[in-house]
Amino acid sequence: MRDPRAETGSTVDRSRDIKAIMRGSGRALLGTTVLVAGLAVAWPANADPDTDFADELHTHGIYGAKDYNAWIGKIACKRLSRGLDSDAETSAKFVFTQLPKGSTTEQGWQFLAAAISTYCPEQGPVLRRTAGLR
Amino acid sequence: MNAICLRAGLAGIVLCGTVLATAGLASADATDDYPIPHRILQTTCTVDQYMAAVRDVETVYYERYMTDYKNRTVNIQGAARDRIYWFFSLNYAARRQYSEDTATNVYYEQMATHWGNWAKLFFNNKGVAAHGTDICTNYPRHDPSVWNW
Repeated sequence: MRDPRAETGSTVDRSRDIKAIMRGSGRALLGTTVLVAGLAVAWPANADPDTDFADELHTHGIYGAKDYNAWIGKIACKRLSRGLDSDAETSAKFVFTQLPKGSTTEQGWQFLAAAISTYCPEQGPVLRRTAGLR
Repeated sequence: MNAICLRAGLAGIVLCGTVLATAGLASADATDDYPIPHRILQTTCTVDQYMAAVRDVETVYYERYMTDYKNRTVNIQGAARDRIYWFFSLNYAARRQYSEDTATNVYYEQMATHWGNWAKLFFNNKGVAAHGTDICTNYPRHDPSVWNW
């Protein structure tokens, strides 16, 4: 299994992306993503939510070890429910640092939205609050 | 010496055997990076800082360690916490000596007989240690909530 954290190189690019998440451009992307996710039709349900989650990630061009991505999704939910990530931006920043180098901020948000809808739909309001939706 | 040993009786064999056997012992069995990673020997971060850092940057490794931790009894959990806080209270030389002691004597660390992976988060993986110590100074020095996960 390739370790997405294996590349230790420069963090300059990623910090710019992380800052983008915190700025308005990140939020605008989030708004679009959340709306789309909310309107999406139900996925063909498998017995295994991890497989559903992996399939949804693939549609966003996010690949990687299935169990690793499932872990990140579940841990993102855990961090939200524990209050370690106080809002969606912090959560998206956490998710973004776990993704392979070269991932976009949009993919970070899409990952987070997919994780919440798969593993902790009760955290949905956290996303909607950040997008300015009620 | 060998000639004398060949001619000697039983007592001579015992004596000669002991002398010959001790001739080849290694002078050091640990290195500056094994069994304890160099970053851990050198870091001035606290246990809490390191664990909070690993929770963010090596999140699956941290999750697995905490799952294992929660499967231990309360006594073992407390003993492991005490032991790792003790280790982090040592200076570099003492940590290096401890590394040497655990490398040369498999029974040296009593904690390991109760929970083999008690220090896995800290000692087992150089990459995890490196990523954690890269950013550990950004976290609060005292934060026992890192053990409550």
